[in-house]
Amino acid sequence: MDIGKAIRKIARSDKHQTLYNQSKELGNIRLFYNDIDLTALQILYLNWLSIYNSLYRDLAMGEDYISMEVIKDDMRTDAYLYYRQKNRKKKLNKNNNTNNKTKDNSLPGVKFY
Amino acid sequence: MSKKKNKLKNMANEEIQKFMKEGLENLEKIQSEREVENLIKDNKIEFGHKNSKFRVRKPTAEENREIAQVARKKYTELVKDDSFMFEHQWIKILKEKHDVDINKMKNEMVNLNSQMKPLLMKMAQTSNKKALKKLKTQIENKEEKQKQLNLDIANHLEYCIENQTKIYETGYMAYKVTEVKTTDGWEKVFKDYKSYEECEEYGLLNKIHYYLSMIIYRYEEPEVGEEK
Repeated sequence: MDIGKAIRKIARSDKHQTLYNQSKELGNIRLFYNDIDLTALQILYLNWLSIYNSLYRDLAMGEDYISMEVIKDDMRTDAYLYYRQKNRKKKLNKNNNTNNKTKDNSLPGVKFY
Repeated sequence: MSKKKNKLKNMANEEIQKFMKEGLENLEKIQSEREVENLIKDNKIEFGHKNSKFRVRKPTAEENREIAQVARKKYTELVKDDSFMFEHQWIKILKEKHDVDINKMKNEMVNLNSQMKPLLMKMAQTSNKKALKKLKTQIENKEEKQKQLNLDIANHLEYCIENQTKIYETGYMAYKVTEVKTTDGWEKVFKDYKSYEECEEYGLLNKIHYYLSMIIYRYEEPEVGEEK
């Protein structure tokens, strides 16, 4: 079992996306037994939950190049995320023409030993 | 008439087989999903081995301090030992004496990453199935090359002081956080680090390290030139 793929699969599922949204809104729904001392896998899962949540939001907003087919395909999702990051940076740079600072809004990655 | 009957019978069998196959596949999917859900529900991961129940758990703050301390001691010991070398020393010797250029291999990995970016950009903006298939193959080939390079580098640098300290640290952690379920509750599997080192139950050790890798979080700063 490829654990990275498996984590992405459950993070994009309806069940886990609902849990994620409800835990954010209600606050009394716990995703894990432990509240602190998260494991590498739990952090990776949270990372993907939030990424897929943003993808579903893009889909609802009718953004270009995003579809359910893309969300279900890991490589196409990576491609879309890269495209989105580049596109956002381009827009940000356009808006910040007077101020040359670019903002870093990327998430840190998780690496296993 | 009998031929027709046989055909119908065969078709029914095929359908049943197809139905059973799909059912089994779905069951496997559900099982693997449940397995992953079990892995993330807590910061303790339980697993079975030879009719016993084991678990690895996140080390406590005190255990972490102890692990860091023994790792520091090990590092000092290795630095004093002339038969051990640092990563940069290995890189130099491998290049000079064996014509293995680790820095070149690392640069090659960065280059492959740069080559993948325009392919990803193209992939994001197309829905043409033929084009997607071609891009996927190109990206997969580059990923495969990267994996191979990564593996080669890791193999060449396995015995450097930095890696040996990490291996020792992980082993010490495995001794500290592996427990077995008994009638009295959870108890330590290894009474001391020596018994962990002397353990010859390789199946169990593999499982311990596999699950431990899912617990330990190591944040690594991106290398220079690597895009965050």
